[in-house]
Amino acid sequence: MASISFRGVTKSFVDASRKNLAPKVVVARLDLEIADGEFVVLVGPSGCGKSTTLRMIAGLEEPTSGDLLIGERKVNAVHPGERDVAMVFQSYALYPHLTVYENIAFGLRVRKTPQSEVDTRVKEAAGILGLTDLLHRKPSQLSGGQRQRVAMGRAIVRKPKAFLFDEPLSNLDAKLRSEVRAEIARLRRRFETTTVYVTHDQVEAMTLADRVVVMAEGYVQQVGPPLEVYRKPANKFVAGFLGTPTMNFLPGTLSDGTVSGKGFFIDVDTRGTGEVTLGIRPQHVTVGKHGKVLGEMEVEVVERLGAESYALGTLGGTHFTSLVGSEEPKPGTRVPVSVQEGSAHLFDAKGVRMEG
Amino acid sequence: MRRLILAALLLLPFTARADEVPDAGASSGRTRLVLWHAYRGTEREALENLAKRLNDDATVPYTLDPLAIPYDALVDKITAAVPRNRGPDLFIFAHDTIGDWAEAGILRPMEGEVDPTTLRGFFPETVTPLIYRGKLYGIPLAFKSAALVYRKDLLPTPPRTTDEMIAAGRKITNIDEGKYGLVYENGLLYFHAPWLFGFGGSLFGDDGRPKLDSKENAESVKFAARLLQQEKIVPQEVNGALVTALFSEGKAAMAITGPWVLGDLDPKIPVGVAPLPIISESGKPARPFLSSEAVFVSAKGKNQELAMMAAAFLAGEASARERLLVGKQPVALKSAWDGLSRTDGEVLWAFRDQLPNTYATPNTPAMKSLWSPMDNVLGLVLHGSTTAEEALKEAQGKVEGVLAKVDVPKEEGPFHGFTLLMVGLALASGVWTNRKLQMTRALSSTFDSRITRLAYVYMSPALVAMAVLTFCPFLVGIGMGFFRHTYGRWDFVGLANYRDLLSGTDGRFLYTLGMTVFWTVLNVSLHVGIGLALALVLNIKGLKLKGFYRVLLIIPWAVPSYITALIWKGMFHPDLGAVNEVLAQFGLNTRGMSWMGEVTTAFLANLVTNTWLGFPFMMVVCLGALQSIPSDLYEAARLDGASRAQQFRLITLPLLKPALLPAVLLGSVWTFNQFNVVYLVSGGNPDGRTDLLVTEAFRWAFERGPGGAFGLSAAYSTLIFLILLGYSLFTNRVTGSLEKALE
Amino acid sequence: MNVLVHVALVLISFATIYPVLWVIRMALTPSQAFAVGLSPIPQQVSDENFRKVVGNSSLDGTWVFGHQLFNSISVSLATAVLGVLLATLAAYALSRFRFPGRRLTLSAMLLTQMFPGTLMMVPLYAILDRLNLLDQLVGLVLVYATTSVPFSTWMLKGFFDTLPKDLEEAAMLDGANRAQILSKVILPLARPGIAVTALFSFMTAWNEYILAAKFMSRETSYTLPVVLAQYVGAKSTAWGLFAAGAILVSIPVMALFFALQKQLVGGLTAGAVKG
Repeated sequence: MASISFRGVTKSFVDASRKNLAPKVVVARLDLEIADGEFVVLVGPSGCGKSTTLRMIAGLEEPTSGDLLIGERKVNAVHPGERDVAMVFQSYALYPHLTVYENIAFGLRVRKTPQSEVDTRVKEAAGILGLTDLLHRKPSQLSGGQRQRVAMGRAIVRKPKAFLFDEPLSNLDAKLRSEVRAEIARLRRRFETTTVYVTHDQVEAMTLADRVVVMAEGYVQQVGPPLEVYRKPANKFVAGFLGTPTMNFLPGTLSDGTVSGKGFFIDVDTRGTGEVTLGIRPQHVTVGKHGKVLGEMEVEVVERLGAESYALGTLGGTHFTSLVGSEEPKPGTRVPVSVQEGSAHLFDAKGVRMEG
Repeated sequence: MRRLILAALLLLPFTARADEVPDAGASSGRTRLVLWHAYRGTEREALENLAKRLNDDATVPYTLDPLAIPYDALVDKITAAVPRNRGPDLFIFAHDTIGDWAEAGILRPMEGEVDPTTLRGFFPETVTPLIYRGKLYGIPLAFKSAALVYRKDLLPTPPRTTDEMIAAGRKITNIDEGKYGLVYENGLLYFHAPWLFGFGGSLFGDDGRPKLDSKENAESVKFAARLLQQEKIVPQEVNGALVTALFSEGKAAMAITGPWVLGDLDPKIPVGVAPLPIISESGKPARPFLSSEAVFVSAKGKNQELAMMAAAFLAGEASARERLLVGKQPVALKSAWDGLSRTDGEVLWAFRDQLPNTYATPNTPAMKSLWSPMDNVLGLVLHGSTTAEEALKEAQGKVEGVLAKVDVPKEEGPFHGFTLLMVGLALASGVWTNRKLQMTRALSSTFDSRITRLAYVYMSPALVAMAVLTFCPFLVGIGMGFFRHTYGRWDFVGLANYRDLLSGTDGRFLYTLGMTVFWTVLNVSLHVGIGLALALVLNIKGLKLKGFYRVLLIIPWAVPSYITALIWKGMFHPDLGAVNEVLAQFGLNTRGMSWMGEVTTAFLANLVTNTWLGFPFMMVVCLGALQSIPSDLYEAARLDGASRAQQFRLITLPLLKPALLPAVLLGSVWTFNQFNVVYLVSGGNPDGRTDLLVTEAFRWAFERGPGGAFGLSAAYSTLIFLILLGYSLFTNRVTGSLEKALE
Repeated sequence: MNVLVHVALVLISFATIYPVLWVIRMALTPSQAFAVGLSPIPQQVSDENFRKVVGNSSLDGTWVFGHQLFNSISVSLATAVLGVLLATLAAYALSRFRFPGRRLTLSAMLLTQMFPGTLMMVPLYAILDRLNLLDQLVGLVLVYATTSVPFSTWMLKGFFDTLPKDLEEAAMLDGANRAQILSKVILPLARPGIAVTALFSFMTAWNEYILAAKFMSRETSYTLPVVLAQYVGAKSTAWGLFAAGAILVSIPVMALFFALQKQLVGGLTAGAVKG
């Protein structure tokens, strides 16, 4: 087990097939310390550099500049096989010509582990993951969830310094996904191994992570425990990326503790003046007059999720979503919406969070 | 374990190497002499008996190791091997190539080394052809010439004059039954020679230069045409295979052929042989070509004295008897014939009786350039495409053209325009390469140098092997294109080869190029069309016996093409081939229709053969590609209301394209360079008009010029390469067929 | 509809094998004459030609045909193994690595397909002479293998392109080195492609006779196609023996085609379609 440190790591590519030779920066000046035993989730939209970051840890990509350390060792150019990390791929990357047993044993075999030890360890891993009955099957004879478990078995059997997960759940259906998510959490508690987990699914990020790292366009936007990031997003991007339904953003003007814009008005704790964006999570506004009324929204659709319902529409010409309280509004009507105390986020013209 | 097996497989050829032929003389300290020959059947048996007898006799200071070499390969092999000291000590061949070989210093002159009295023991007709520029180069073993071979059951007495021959022939001929009075390869100069010389014709003028368009030659050609067209006693388009076939099936009473045919005939057939008849018109006897088969000693051998001894033995009395009696060979040594009575050796004696009336094939190198033009003359006239006089005149012009081209030019020709063009092209390509290199260099900083090194390590075995065995010969070949070759000597001539090939006033190069392009386009379209159609059918869901059909349809690909091409040639025979028979079954009036006489039909015959050979590859490519198209696409299209035709056009074709384009490109290149089919089926007939660029390149190297016009052939090949290169660059630019593969 | 399809297929199949039936007829007929007519069914049947071809022995009683069969088999197998080995290594590098000169190498391999054979023959003889490889089966193997390498490399490269890169990365993380990845992951997965490539290389060597006849100068070092060519004389051909030999030569290739037809269908195009 080991810590992982990025020190000013940049990764850029040149697309050799194009005539344009300017390198494309995928990860820019990344500084990140992952503690021993920590579970870190990298989130962000596709193309944000999270997978490349993970692949640099694995050794599948080499940093263009900066240092990458696993433990105390600089591993920039160390061969993946010598880093002692294990990875679960999005596609699972199971060897189709080998049985489950041989798939799990592969990493031990190429390291010339004695057969008796291979056998105990494979069986142990299979036992943990409930694969004991499937050991003699080929990957093509397994269901998606079973394949996923084999991929994890292949990782845990080696007892590596770190687990790397590259969107491991994206090929599973919703029900399996939550099951496997729980399984990963369980395994993680059992092994206490440093884990880096890449996903674009915020639920996974929120539920699994000790800390989340939100990335966009090659830059880290915010690092912190999931709830902290959720509650205090560092900028408009993070605020919009985390949380479902997406946070409402209303353009407005700040002056002397109030923000006003087209069709709304709200008091805030922040001083100063200027153009701002008001951010409010849909969970924090309710249809009807229950406290401070923000304004009136035009309802277009009502989405019933079962436990709760949301009204979707516009407020002052901007898209707006609000929780529905006891009375459900009719589509096409204008209804007032009330906002919870202290739930407003303010972002300046550059999109950076303004603190109160 | 598996690695062991692979290693063992790789080492197999080495183990075979260790398994040397046990050297009969090694223990006794005798010198081993290697003898190359192209004998087969009884002749080979006799020769090997002789060698065995020699090797068993410990008093002989050498042992003899005979090696049979395919006839096709022997001349070329000797020409290549002897100058490099890889050749045999002695070899047996007909005399007609000694001009080339003597000039190239391959043959040891024997002048003064053979006792004149010994020489007088041979028939003089067999000795004179072995003299080239006043020097004797070999000792005669046997003579081969055509004679009149007839079936005694069909023709009790052989004709003495051509009139008698025609009369007898007309009586026997019954075209409906496929029976003919006479059969001979009337499209070949070799078998036409009896008439040509019998009419007093000749191939060379008094000045020793080729002279084809004489009155007598024309008369002889007309006579051959008369036998075919008016008297109708001979079938058309006969080849050697047909002569034997017709004769042994009793469908021909007479044949003009040589002793070589006897071994292939059923011994039960009552064969008679007689000298060829006297030409009634000229009163002179018909005179076939004579080949004097002789033993030659290599000028590069290490043991030439011993080789001379061996040659003398092979030509000597004991050997001659064995070759006569066991080998059934008409031997050159007069005294050997004492051992064979006329009754026992009726057939062989008949060939001996023909000997005084023969004409030795000229051994001057120029002779090589006459065969195919004269064959063309015969082909054209017999088919009725032109008159004898005109055909001969044209052939004369062509021969002079070829001879002028293969001569080393005395001075650089006035062709600066072309030279400038080439220099310009070279510069342009240099600039282009330089730009590419600069780009690569700019990029290389971004490549991982470790990966680059690793990549080259992986590729190095293949690259090294290809550099030595592919690119090196290729560059040497291109270099050869700037030289003229005369008997092993290479003269630098700059671009003269290209000038001579391209500036031919007959426009032959452009014609051949056009023909080749047409050939390629048609073939590839047919291959793809038929292949795709069959693949679509074989891809029908639930079709039974799929595997069975697939195996049958792949067969043409699995059988070596040099065999099937010959079979197809036989099937295209006008009277006896299966193709005309089959078409006639469908009510078409094709019996006796000639395929090789017209450019269009000869081309068609080539095309059919090559289509047969080539569609399985495309079928397999299409099948593979079809199977990889996901079926839900078709389901989606059906829901969208697409008809079957639309599904094909909108889904199948576009999705097949990426698989088909590289296959089509590769297929075009292969078809463009397809040698076997054209060379074996139409043989370029008529008049070389179905020849492709590759067969032309081959003809320059092996059928023309002093010792092979290798320089011109190399220049020709380089042109082919440049054309293909241009084609692939063009298609790649237009279709991007390779872009994806190159990524 | 189905009946029509079958009728058409039977007709086409018959037309396809018709010329081959002729070869069989001539091989089974004791006469050495070329067979003419319409029906490919032999009138007399005898195994004489086959026995003569197979029984071919030399002066000192060596079973020459046996040697030649062994030569053909060993040369073709060695060509297949060597050709596939060289092509696999090159194709793997071309498929997986990005390096300067990659496109050039791929293009150069394609260019070799455009060299007319006539251009190469004379210099090739001289080169083999220099390397002391004339009259050695090893020389033939090297020439055949290099001839087959460009096409094999292209095909295998296409095949490798279809194999997911994930698998290699997974193996890399598992600690496998390049050689282990190639032998334990890539090769087992590329088996269909390799089978086809090996078949092509095998056929290159198995059917070739022009170079073999020119390079080999001992009867026990001939390959079978050279032996076949021996039955073709200056002015006449022993058709019965030629045909019998042709059938003997074709049988192994047909057997391989039959055994590998599934791979053949998939293997030829995998790269192009999914690539």
